[in-house]
Amino acid sequence: MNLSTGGGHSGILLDVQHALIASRNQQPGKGCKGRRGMTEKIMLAGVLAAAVMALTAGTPAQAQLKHYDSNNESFWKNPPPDWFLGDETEQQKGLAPQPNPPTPATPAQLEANLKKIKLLPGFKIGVFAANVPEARQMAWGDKGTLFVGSWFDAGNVYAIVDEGGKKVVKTILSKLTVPTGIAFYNGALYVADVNKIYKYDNAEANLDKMPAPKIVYDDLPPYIPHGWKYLAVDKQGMLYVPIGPPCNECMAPTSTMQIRRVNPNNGTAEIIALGVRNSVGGDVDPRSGDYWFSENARDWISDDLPSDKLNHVTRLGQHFGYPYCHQGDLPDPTYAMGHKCSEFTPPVLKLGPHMAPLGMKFYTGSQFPAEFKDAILLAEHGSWNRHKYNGGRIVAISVDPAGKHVKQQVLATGWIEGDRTFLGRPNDVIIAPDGSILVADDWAGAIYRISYAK
Amino acid sequence: MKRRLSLCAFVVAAIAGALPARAEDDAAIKTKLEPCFACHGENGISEIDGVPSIAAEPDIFLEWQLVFFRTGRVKSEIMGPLAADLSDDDIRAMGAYLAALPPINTPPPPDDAPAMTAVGAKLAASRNCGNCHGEGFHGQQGAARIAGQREEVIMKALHDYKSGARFGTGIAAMPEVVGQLNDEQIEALAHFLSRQR
Repeated sequence: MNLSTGGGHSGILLDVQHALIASRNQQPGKGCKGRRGMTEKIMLAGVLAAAVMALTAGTPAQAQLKHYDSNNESFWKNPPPDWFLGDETEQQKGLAPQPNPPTPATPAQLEANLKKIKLLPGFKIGVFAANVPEARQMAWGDKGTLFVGSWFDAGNVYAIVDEGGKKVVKTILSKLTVPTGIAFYNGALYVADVNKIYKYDNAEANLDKMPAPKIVYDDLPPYIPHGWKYLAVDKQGMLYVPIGPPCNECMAPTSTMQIRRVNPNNGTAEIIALGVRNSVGGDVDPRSGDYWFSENARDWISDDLPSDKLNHVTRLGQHFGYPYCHQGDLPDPTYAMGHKCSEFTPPVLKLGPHMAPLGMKFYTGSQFPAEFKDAILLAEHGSWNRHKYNGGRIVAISVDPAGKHVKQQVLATGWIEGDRTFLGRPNDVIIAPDGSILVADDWAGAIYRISYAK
Repeated sequence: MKRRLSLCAFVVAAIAGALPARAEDDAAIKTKLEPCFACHGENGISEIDGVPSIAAEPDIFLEWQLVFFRTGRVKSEIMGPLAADLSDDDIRAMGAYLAALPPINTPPPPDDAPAMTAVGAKLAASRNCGNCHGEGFHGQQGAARIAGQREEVIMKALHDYKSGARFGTGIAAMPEVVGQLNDEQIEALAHFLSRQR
């Protein structure tokens, strides 16, 4: 971190210099409880960062706050176990992600949970399939199989098939690292697992014994933090692949903070978007062919800042602001480094703080009312770095192909109870052939179906 | 002994009260746990080399281990077959029961290697073990209680994380923690943690 380039806040810099001198006069480095082997320079940088945060937040610097230097290869390759806690602030201290329940919710629990879900008039929700541990992105096969990826602990890919009206969940791949992102195109199942994209040809005919995969793309960084993927596929079979920074907020490796369009036929890729933090959802607009994506904003600023985003790529290689600028108009307290938010592409819509918007699809079905035609249906996974969790909803965003006339409504809500209790965590949406939608929940390990009838 | 019994009775009563399950379900879980206690020790405190204590571990941690053994994500010739036929309900009930047992409360034996303990203490602090494993390393959520765990068990777990033989929850935190430790450091860390209460 080169603080001499942190212009634009000369008053703060001056104050920080005072703080720095004060900390030197007391006990150098003691204000920063960091990793072993940190140089004094880095520790002082930590003091500076903490001081900047403290000045911004208006609270006194706290010696026990965690700070790591996340601007180096050793952090990215061997991040501390609590890497997401690396930029702790006094306001958000003590908040941490919750591990998923080890076993999926029982059908009885699911039914009880779904009674608490509030939907727009005319919409209904039910269980499509239970017992899908840590269910993540979904993809339809040509013959009606629903493929489902999963999170870390499960490490599986599932196929859900209909056998005599009963949904049967088959584990078709296992022992992957974090196979969250999957896609289906032209008979093949694609699975993105951190730094490799696998292709399983003729997948639907081989559910009981999947063929050995071909690696169609592996020019991807190995970092696990924000290394989980989401795959969108366009009409030509190109794959949109987000690559997040291996930190909360840092000057991350050049191979990250971007979205690429990968040609799985020859392993080439082009950069679609730059300056992107953790994106785990996106879709190609059926009206224009443009790529739209959801993006999770950084943590550890406050409960209410910054907002997560819905973005629209109108030009190849557009820069969306990370790590310099958040939510289109909030310079990072430490990493703005003289950049102005006006240099970057603003979001189409601010989705709200700590919503965790993940999987999204344009609604191309015909079952829902006309106002939902081509609307973006988006799953909000819900907070961890907020005292009262946000999200845990399915929202519908109507927007024209140019990104104007935006209107958001909450289609389904109620997966967060009280301040911080999850009944479930919606993380992906897919349109079913009959025009209903399916929702994946990696907390309860289930797939729901939301349908509409007048 | 009398105190231990009454404590045990209290715990059983507390579990029975906390669970909506019927009394026969409780009895069924205790029957299912009998083979576990044969190796993991009466009340879940192990006295056998290489076998971990399981009492008072967080329920989420215990349940994930059983799920990992059941799916083969963690390989064990002993635990794999034992977990293979467990239902989700079994796993949840076992986790709740074992988590409610009291932790080890006998003091550690006299320290034969205080220098090693000191090195281990420093490592535990510098590797931020307590951030996930909790204050006093008593475990929380998906992270194990490692205070008072058997020394050779902790050592094996750390080596297994390092070699990739073992998998953990928490976004691959453990392989990353252990990746930079050498054998002597692993030994010191295990020595220190096993002596905590």
